[in-house]
Amino acid sequence: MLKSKKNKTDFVKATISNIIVAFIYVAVFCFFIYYVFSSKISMAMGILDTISIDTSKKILKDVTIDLETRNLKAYPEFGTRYGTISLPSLGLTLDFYFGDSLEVLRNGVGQSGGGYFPGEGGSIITMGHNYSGILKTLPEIKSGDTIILDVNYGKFTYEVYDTKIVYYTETYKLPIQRDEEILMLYTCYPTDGFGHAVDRYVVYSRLVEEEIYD
Amino acid sequence: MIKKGINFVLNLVMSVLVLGLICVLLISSTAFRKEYIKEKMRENHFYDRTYSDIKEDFENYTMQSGLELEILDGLFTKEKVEKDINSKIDAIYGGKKAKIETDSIKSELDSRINLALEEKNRVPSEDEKKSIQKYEEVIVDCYQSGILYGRDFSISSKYLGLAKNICITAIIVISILLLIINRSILKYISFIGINLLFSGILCASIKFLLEKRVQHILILDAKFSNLLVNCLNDCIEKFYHFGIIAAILGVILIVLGSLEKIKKTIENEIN
Repeated sequence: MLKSKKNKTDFVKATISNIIVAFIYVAVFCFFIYYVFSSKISMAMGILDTISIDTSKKILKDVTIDLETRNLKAYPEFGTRYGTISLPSLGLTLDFYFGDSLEVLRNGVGQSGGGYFPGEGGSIITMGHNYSGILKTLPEIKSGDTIILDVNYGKFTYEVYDTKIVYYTETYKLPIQRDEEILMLYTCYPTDGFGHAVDRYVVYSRLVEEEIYD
Repeated sequence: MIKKGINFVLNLVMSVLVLGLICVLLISSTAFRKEYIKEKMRENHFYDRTYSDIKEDFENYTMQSGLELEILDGLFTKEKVEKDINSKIDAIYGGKKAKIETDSIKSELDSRINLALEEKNRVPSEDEKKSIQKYEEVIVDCYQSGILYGRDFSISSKYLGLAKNICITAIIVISILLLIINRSILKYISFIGINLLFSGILCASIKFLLEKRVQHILILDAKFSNLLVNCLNDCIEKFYHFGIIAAILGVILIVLGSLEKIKKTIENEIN
């Protein structure tokens, strides 16, 4: 059947033209979809890009501070330990993390992403559980006592000037500002009670000394 | 010329319907099938991770409560978590609201707290009793929200079934029209070949469009994101493999259908 040259040619032509028709259909279909739904496609791709976070591209850089602008040049990744917090009057030295996730708070003291970093000259919001070995004894701290943040770019010493018992929704009592470097450290209160605590014991301290590491 | 134009349009419509039918069938066998979802959850250790997450949440609240963590030992089991997640999935796919049993957790926790206070010779004040009550409620809420994030919604495959029926009916109608117009089985076979090649190209190209984009999806938490990414990758692979098979089958049918040309040439030569 395919022996004659004309038959072979016709056969090949028919096959190729049908394959080309299929590709034409693909092009027409894609053009139609793009023309009619382009805004919806862009929105969908935008949403997909928004929810896709390639954490492998995030580099854990060395955290350093620019002494002129008082801004950090690179920030620690959320959930990473980047120093220690010491309360010498209570005999406590705890791991200090950037982040306030449940995992962080199980292991030490966390720093809220809503405030500033040590050395940046603003409010630093930190917290820890009232569990034994973490901040159970925080209410024993007094005005004049020191809190030391030893992070990977410097050591910052704060002096306690006030303590307050604050209802957990009264967040305005932990104000975010950049006029003065204030460290606020809080835990659930009462620390020796039982059950679900709705109050927070907040310790306010201001920066009195800093040492920036080379 | 008019006949070619009609063939072109009808075949294009049929190609889109075939593609639609393929998509509906693939989606029905994956995302809209609860057994598939449960299987993927098992593969991704979703049940185990949910158990760990709930346990961790319990521990975090307990660490702030003045109670020892031992109070939580054996309060709930992995089997209960799996059973509750599965009943929630059954409810989602069945269009009902799942009821997660937490009374046993609350009553067991309450008796353990009372025992712990007795051992410490501690009589709780009225405020402490309220705090303890609140703590128990928080633990129960924690468990309920830990089971598939506490969300209630339903997935109905009613519209998929309808879409499938519409596609099949329309394909049959257009097939009959094409056969009437062309009066040739071989030509019809080449049309089917074009449909399959069209669908195959589009199904296979989904992999190139979406595969890289879906790898780093982050929604709710890591375990849900891993499950979602796994399911999406599986669906994309299924589309890709089907696309390749459909494209190859399409080319084969096109080649078979091209014999129509040869048949005509021979008939003409004979005449």
